[in-house]
Amino acid sequence: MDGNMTVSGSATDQDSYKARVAEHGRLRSLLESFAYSGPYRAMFKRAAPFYAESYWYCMGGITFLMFVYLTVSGILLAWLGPFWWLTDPVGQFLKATHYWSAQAFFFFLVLHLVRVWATGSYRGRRWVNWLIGGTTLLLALGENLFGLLARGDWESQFVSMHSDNMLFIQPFFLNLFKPGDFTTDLAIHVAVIPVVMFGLILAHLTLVRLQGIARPL
Amino acid sequence: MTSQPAMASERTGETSGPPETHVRHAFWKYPLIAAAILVVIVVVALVAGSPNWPRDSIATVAKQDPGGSVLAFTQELDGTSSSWGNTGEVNSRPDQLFVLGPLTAYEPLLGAPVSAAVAMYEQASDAQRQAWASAYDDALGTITPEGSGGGMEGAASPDYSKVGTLTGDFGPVPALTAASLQLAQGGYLQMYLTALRPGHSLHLTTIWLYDEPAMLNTAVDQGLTDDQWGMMKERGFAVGPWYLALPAVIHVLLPGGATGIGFTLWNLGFALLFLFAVPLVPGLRGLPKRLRLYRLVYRYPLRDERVTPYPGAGEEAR
Repeated sequence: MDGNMTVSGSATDQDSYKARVAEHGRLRSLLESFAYSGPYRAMFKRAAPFYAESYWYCMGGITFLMFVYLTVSGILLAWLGPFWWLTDPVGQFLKATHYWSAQAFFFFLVLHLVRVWATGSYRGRRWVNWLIGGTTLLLALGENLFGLLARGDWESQFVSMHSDNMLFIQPFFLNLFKPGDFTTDLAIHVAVIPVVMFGLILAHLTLVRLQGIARPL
Repeated sequence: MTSQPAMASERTGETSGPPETHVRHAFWKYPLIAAAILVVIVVVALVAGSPNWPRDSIATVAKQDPGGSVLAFTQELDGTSSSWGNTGEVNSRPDQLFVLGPLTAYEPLLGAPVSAAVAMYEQASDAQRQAWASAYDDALGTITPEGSGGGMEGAASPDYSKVGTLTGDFGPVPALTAASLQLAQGGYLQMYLTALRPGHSLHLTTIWLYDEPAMLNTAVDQGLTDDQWGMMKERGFAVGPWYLALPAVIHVLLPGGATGIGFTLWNLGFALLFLFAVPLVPGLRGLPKRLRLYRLVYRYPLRDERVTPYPGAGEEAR
């Protein structure tokens, strides 16, 4: 296993502010001081290969953070309903953060994908995790379409019927999907795709923890 | 402590790979970046908002475009409306659902002449009904301005001011469509359709709005039906779902036109290629190694930077 590991040995000397300034300079030492204190100490007391200490390796984590924010804001939006998010100023604001965090989700997801591909991190048995990640990406694109349909505004009305006429005229998927039906769209967007995505992301993260960070090409 | 000379020894060997020494607290940047991104999202959401165009209702559309509404009712009667192409979604006959059903329900409101027209239509043979409705549909075509459909996919609406001048063997069809227009403009049609499916109250309204030419024409005007990039636009909102560029790379005009099944199989094929071929097919699998883009990704020590191994996290771990 070549990945993250929690180190049991003492590192007190290295953890002192003075030692950190000597190693990393004053700015980083100041910024990262939270990671050496309180509950964060245990959380960040993780060793990783030097080459992975790059912004590129943060992209998957930020994508996950966006997923968490989308879930939290999405639950609130679904709880308070379409009339609220379309007409109330607070609802419109929360909807806007949901919209922009979805943009950020895809932005960082693409960067994560580029990083994984460029470093060949799918080699060996990690191809299974590539498969899980890729499936999550495809589901996220579907989630995006149903999010547009569940928005409830004019474009939502139009696109629901347009995609309906394009894609769903045949007894496709046993007619389970009726995009023209706002209730179905909302249910799929809120209660079907995200649940599957959550399971896949959980499996993705578990495998990353088990298999660790891929060795360099 | 590993100093710069030791660092150099890390990089010896057959590759010029990055140092693999384990270091501590590599992910201290995460929470700071996360907090910064959340702040950016809040600010952008406050400044730019998100797309929110008022919904169409049957009443507003029927008032703005009465000619198109008459055309929609006629086509629901003669079997050429959009909803007839998708009866699986409607779960009923569009003529019954959108024209005859509502007229029967509102009979007391509409008066005896409309009741008589409904009765006449319902008692006629299927062939007779079809002949009346098709004749009226054709006649509406003669008062439809050419080239006003807004493009390839749009359909023009008949000139409502000339609807009264049409003559021919239309049977009760003009009376039925005129009464339906009255219901639509007063909001009664939407009320009826909303009540018909209480758990899915917006469904039938949207389907009727798609029978009316106005919705598609608005979309054509806004460039929302463009085959290649159509779904990447959002009305009045420049950003749009830009990430649909990913599937749009493989989006082509299929031979024989875009059918749902063809579209699905085409996309599924590429999805499987992306999922399985990239990590498993030998030539494709080794591409990143040849391209050496990883050199832009890995962290390499800066000049004079010390790489301090974390105690206990040694090479024996691999």
